[in-house]
Amino acid sequence: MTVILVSSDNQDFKVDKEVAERSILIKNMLEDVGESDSPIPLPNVTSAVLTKVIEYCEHHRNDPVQVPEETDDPRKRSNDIEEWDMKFMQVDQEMLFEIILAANYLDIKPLLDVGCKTVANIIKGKTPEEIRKAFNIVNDFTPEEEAQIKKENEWAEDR
Amino acid sequence: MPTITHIPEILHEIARYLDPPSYFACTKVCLQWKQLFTPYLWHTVDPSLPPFNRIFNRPGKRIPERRRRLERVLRLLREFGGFVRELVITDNTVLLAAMEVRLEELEGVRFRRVRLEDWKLEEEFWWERRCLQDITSTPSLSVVKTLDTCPWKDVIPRSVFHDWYEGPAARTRATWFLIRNNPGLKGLSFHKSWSSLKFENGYQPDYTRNQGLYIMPLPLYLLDEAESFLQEMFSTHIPELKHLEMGHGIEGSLLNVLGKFLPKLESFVQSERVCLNGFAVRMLNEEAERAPHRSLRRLVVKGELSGDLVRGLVKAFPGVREVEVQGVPRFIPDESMIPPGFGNRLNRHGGGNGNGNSTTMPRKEVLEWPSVESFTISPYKPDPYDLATISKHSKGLTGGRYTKPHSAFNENLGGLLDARVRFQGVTHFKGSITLPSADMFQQLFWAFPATTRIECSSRGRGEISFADNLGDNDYNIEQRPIQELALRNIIGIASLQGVESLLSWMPHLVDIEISGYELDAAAVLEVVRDCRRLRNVWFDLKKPDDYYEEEGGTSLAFQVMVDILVECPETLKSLRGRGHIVLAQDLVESQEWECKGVEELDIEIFGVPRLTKGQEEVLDALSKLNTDTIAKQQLLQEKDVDAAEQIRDRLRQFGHGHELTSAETEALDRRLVSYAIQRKVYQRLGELTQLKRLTFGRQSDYLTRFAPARLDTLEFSLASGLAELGALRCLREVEFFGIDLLMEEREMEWVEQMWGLKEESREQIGLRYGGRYWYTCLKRAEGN
Repeated sequence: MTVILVSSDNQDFKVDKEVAERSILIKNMLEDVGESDSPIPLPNVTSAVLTKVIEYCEHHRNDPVQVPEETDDPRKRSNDIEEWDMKFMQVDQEMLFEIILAANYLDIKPLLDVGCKTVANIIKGKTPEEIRKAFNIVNDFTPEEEAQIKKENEWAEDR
Repeated sequence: MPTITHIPEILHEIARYLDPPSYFACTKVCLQWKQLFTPYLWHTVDPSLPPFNRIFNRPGKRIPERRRRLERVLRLLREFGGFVRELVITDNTVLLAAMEVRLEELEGVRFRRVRLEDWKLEEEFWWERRCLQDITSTPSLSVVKTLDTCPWKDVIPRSVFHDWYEGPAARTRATWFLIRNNPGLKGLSFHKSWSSLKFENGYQPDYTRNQGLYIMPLPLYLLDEAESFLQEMFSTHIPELKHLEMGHGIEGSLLNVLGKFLPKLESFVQSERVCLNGFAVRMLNEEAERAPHRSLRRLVVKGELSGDLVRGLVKAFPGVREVEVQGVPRFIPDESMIPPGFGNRLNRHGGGNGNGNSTTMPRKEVLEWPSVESFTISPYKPDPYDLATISKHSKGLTGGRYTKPHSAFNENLGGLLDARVRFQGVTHFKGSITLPSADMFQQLFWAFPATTRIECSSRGRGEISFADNLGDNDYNIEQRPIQELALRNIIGIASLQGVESLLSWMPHLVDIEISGYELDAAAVLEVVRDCRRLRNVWFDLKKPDDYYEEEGGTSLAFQVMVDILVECPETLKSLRGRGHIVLAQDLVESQEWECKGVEELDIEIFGVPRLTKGQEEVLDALSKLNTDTIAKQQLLQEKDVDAAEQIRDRLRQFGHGHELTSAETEALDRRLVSYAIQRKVYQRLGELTQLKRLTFGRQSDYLTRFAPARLDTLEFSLASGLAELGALRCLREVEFFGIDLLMEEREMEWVEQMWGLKEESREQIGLRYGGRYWYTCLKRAEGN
């Protein structure tokens, strides 16, 4: 059985129901609507991003459904990304962010995790300035705050 | 468009995968990130690790000025203390600052093994607080205000510290003061110090060496005062405690009273050895009958493993899921010896003779411990400061008898088996024990009937062999569900004699790893025939006697390895180990392999008729000879026997150019034969298209490391047919050991183009004997 997904730029994507149901949002929608052929509009996802997301879901169609783990250790490791996923995530930053947003919106937890791990790996080992540069973030500290941080750094950073 | 770097929901997701140094950097990126990442940064404060080793300390100075550091730590904790959930105390400054600041959310304190500053009499400690009051602008040291004297002075009754120096006593008091001020604590951990036991007069604390360096929770002797102190602390001040780790020797008795003191505890770790002799174990049993501890889920104990101890634990902790026993060499004190910490219970429990006979335990009744999911006997590491465990001849042992370390493993296992306890919930048995005998294995199966995985590593000298076959006993096939078996002989003399019989007893095996012992090839063949779900296999084969024979006859062992390859089931993913020798001719003629999906393979292919070095030189010279006949060039390049013969005929016939000498003819002939067989071998290997890792040649060990490179094997040159392996596109790593490789630049280019691999290392053989290299490794570059 197939489902038709419609991207924000009105492109139709025909995918297996099993694949589409990797997205909890779509799964719930399908359950609510019941058997129906009507296309599912995804106004927050462009066709380029949806193509990637479907590629991911196709590859992981047979994965067991993730059980929410007990969170005794809130910190997780970011270096246990599967090889295929790693390759899949080798996209430009804009696309990476779009995929994460789409995964969040569509509620595809494993994809969201992989995306966040990828971003975490970009952050790791970088100085604040490098992080700003990497993500194009504006430094909005006031000069006083900046001075305070600098003072802290005198104490806390290696020379 | 809002980017994800400003959507809090996503940032929190990302934060889960960052480490503390990254949190620190993130707080300095922008305002929003500062707010968002600050709680993550301060969640766990460990002053010995980045970034707090820098945040708390002044850079460039090994020991920061004490006062300035204290001032700083205090200021930071005042500002951010509300976020701290987990605090590691590594020195006096942090301890003092933590006492001053209200840490609202604090859930766990760990007292870490880190060298503390060397001073601290109580008065000095007190004086420092006064200094602090002077230097802080806000006189808000609430505790000081409300109390006239040093506030922790009476936290612990003085009598508890009978023979302590004042310094460590002050620190221990301050420790408990901190604990008492944080009633929400869920975790408390005193990291292990080195041994506090010495073996004069049995068990005794030795604080003279350690007491300046570590935070001690309490003296070893748990006297009445100390016990009531602990009871009050635990049950009145931190009743919500879920995790307790004690790294010091007082806990032998704590094990017995957990039910009374901390009935809500879920995890108890006792990482220092305690006395668990007959008397202590009897106490445990008695307390257990009175009040079993039902909420405990995890238990780690270090001590002698005896049957009675295990039985006591079953009764005392019926709800435990995870048990780890750090087995130690057995020290058997007199049964009459009262371990420290039990003195106060003598009167309560009928006399102090501690005679093990006074309580008779039903030895044969089978106990079940179904709650346990994981049971581990963890590796024994000798404690350099615990003399008795490293010296076989410790003098002054009046408390008991001491046995040799290496036999401790079997004693621990013996103790476990002796308990007559069955663990129906344990599916994985892991033990650092001398590899047990067949008889012990049989008992092991009885004690762990649901175990599908057995993993044993041995470091000791094994004297037991598997010579006796496993009997059928009362098990049928279904009751031997072992799927994974790993027996590792790490150091020492092989103790796996006859383990083959054990293998034949486990028809459901999927993963096998037997290392440090060379198996009989015929037995392995039986296993691969019987076990049709094999997945990962590691075994070393006994080398045939004619191993070094240049052109190898048809040794039986060689032949059997081919049969093993043929018979391996299609489920096979990995076949590794040493001594997997096959002769090229046998390989070429072998039947179809079922295991075409194999991803890892260690193989040694010998018996290839290669050219001698002399012959190689002859051909080399021939190729350089200034002849203009195209035919000769063709001849040199021709690999097909028939085609070569035709060219040669033409040469003979027309006789132009250079007349081939007999040596040249012989070399050319031999090369043709060599190429023909090599090509066929490559073709067979080329069928294994899923290969990810190929190890070729004998793996180096002390014996073969400097042995001459073998000449009678594949040369891996393009001329010999390497291109037949072009289909192995999944390869990530190829290793060549001790063989005479003819891989030159052309081959390397091919390897990179076809396999995407590059040469990682090429080590030259120490002894040059014709061989060019003994080790070459090809690897996929990172990120490909």
